[in-house]
Amino acid sequence: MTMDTPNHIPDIPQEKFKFVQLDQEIVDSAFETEPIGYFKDALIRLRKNKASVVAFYIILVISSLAIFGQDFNPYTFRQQNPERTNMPPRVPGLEKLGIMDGTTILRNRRLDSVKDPNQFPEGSVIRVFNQRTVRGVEMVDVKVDYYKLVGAEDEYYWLGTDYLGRDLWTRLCRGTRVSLIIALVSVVTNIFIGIVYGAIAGYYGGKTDMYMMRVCEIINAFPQIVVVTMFILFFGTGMFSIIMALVIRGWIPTARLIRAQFLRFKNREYVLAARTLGVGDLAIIFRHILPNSIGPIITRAMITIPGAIFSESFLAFVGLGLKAPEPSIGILLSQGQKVLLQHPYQAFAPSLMISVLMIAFNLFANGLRDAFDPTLRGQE
Amino acid sequence: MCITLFIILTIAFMVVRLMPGSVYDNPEYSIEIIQALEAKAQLDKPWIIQYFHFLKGALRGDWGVSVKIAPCVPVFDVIKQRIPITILLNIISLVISLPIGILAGTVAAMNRSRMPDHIISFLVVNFISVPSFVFATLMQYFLAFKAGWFPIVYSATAAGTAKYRSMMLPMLALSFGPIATVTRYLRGELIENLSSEYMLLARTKGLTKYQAAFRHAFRNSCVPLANIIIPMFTGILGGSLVVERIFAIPGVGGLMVESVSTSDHFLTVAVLLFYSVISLFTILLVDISYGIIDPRIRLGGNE
Amino acid sequence: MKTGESILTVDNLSVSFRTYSGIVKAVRGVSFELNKGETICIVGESGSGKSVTVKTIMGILPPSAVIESGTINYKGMDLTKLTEEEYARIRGKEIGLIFQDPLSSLNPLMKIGRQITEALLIDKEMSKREAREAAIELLGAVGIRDPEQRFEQYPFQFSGGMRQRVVIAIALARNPEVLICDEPTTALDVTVQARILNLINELKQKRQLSIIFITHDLGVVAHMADRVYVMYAGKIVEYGTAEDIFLEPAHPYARALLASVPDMETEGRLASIPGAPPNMLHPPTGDGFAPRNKYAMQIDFEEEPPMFRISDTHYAATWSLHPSAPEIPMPDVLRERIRRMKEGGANR
Repeated sequence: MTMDTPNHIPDIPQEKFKFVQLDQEIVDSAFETEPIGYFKDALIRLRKNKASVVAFYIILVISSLAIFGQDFNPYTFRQQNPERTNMPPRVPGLEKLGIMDGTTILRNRRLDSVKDPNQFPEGSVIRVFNQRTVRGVEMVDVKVDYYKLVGAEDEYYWLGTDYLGRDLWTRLCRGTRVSLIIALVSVVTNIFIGIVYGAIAGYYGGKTDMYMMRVCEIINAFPQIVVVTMFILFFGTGMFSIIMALVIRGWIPTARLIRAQFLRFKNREYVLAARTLGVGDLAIIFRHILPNSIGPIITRAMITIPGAIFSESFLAFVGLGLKAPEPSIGILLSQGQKVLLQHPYQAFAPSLMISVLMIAFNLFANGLRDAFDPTLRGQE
Repeated sequence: MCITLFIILTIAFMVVRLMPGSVYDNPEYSIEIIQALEAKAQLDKPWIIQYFHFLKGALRGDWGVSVKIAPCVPVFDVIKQRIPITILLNIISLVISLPIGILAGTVAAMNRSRMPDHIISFLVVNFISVPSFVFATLMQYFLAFKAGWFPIVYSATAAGTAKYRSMMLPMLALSFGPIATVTRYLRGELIENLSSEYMLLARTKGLTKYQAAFRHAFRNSCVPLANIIIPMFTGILGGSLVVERIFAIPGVGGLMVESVSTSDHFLTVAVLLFYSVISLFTILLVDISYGIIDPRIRLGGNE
Repeated sequence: MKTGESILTVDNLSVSFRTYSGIVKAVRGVSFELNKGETICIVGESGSGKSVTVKTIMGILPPSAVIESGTINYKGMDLTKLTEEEYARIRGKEIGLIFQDPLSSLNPLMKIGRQITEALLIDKEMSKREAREAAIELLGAVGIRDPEQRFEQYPFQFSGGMRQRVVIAIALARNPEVLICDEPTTALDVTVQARILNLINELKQKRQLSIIFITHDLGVVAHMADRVYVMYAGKIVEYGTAEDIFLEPAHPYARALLASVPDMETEGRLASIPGAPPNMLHPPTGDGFAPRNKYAMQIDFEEEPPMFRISDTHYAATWSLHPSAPEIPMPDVLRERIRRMKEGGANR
């Protein structure tokens, strides 16, 4: 305890008591930690967030499926085959495990037809069950190897086929590509318009700002569904009009974000200093203020992508999706939904795809948000 | 707000008017009937007169007549009988998601960075990401078709509990997203408020951790919830469009899908107007209630 | 110095924070005592551990903080060993705290009155009406005009100084014996500062408070303190009566701190303390201030100095007080100023 025994004077050799830095100049030194830039810091923290890293790789895998996936098998997304409609999924390898082995259950078949080798070729019937008599006729449910049934034993439709005999794997990859393109293009457009609009409103302020924000408010009061539906009704379906429909209202959050950033930074000392040095408006906007907003902008973009994918699927469900035969995740989902009870696999694959995609984008966006959050800077 | 409504009406008019072909393009009608109908709707006049006619009609509740789904019935009447079920479904979803979301958000915030928080956060990400129609599809297949716990589709004729049982799945499907939204928002607000200076002051008064959390942080966190109710409610509405179709619920959402697919444009536009009015109404309601809840707005503070 | 009855004794207290980048040793073996009826000031720059020390006393450390060692003795209780429930009975009732930032320490959505009565009602000895009357009286006591009207208002309707008065009213609501003021005037305008300080002094007389006053402002110290503790890099480096510290500062940091305060006679450039405070992720060995001290000796970098006794009331932890140490000159500004102060004192 120092308070009670302060007077014990230790023995220290005399030579220790000489001044060691009397002639040195003491400078203001920073902490000895290495200076880390904004993006490097964000990247370090992003990497520590395991969920985000996993999400990032999932996005990568799905994107490459979207680009290359349709070349993995011999079918094309529009090739119809009336003899191969509604084939259940069959994957080489996996079929030996008893899943995705091309079997399906046919309900309410007449027992005598099941026994007829012309209708059910040798070996195609795996199991007959649920035998009952309906109005004097023997009815059964039967589990069949559908590929043997239609004589396609050498063919593999990984995710099955739809009601026109189109390969669903190919269509899903193609559909994912289409959905991602719609999402990306609309988001990039949104961000661009948002930046320009928000920067002008925030930088010039005053009346300009007031009127510009009033316009935002009015547009924002339209429900998203109403805007998008009316737009498509007006301009017709198609990739371009879907993208435009997503842009009409989509740029507003970005504009607000950028405006807020500008309002915050435009009166900072360093901006005022630049202005007194005669730096022009454009240079101040682009060189001095906008770079502060890059983190939030990237995060904003990532958050918007799942929203765009959702809107596209929504439109497809309402019947305002892309024109056939072009697939999108939403179109596949809504087509699959129609035959859910008969051919559930047709709905499951796109359901899984859209869910995984949305979860991955959301997780990645969360990670980015935390990584760019200035209040968390330096904390890994 | 009036401006917005006016703009919506104008755009609605343009959509109906500029649609290729006649709006009454129905193969069952003869040319004479179509012309008579057009004359009645003053579609043979110049567009400016049509426009005022349209506005006048819209304000009086006359939004034209349906063409295909219920031929010659005023769309207002068609919608009217579909409204109650839609409103019921949406309101119930909203009402059940708020308390559940608030509860989950509180649990997560109070156990920050511990197991309950991790589990809740994991569920939140999933519920926010997966669209309501995917939930609807999966639940319809597994819970209704495979397990047989619920009817596969909504049954309007069933009475009492059976009716509500058939509404369970669509309600659940619509609620997952909002529950997650409320949870995430409340958790964020609560964590911020729990670490605020006034929480420290509340504790230095001698309040226990839980007293302080409940009286100060929790109350203050619930106020800004009003902010997310608007997007949440319109989100539910949007989701109900599709979910209603999946479960064959005879609501406004299903009507819109039908009218779009049969090009019954008067009906589509009327449904859209209905949605606009509802969401404008929600915005108004939230604005007003916000003023009541937050003294800084009520008393005209400027902070 | 009158050695009064000690009411709060902090002994060898060490507090660390676990952060992602490592363990930050914010407080490293701090000891001090507070006697009944006196005001002690703890002085130091930002990050020296002052606020962490008082947060430890109040038991409101964030979860990332760990008390490594030490005891806080209040009326025979060791506060570091209390459970959360026991602590809730100490806070407000025995020890009150005033925060640095009155703007954010009041709940923005709750009426001022309720925030005060809430404290009064904790003991369940009052009816709501009595609490209301007591709260209005308190508001009057801290110098708020029209307390009845103000009772019904919200924090945003109050100015900064007024809010600090409300915070003081809340801190005093349950008649604590010890009042801790954590830089209560830093966020306020200079003109308001003096009034708040006077209010605290006045309340101290009326209510026989013992006060721990945290500040980095030596002007405030001169106004308030009976005794002064100087803190640097998580340690107390010097303590003594206000006179001891102002007239005979011994630790190089205390000297530098005093020299950097301007007064009416200051000419030319203001003296500043060169260098930066140490990074508490890697606390310095030896005397923490050595790297910034022109007269640092080799021993300063190698071994931590013990507390040397200067007088009965005045102690400092610096090797320059060791008998073998060479004479270290007082900074010119300071020597001049102390001479003037002494003369002034003699003339008066």
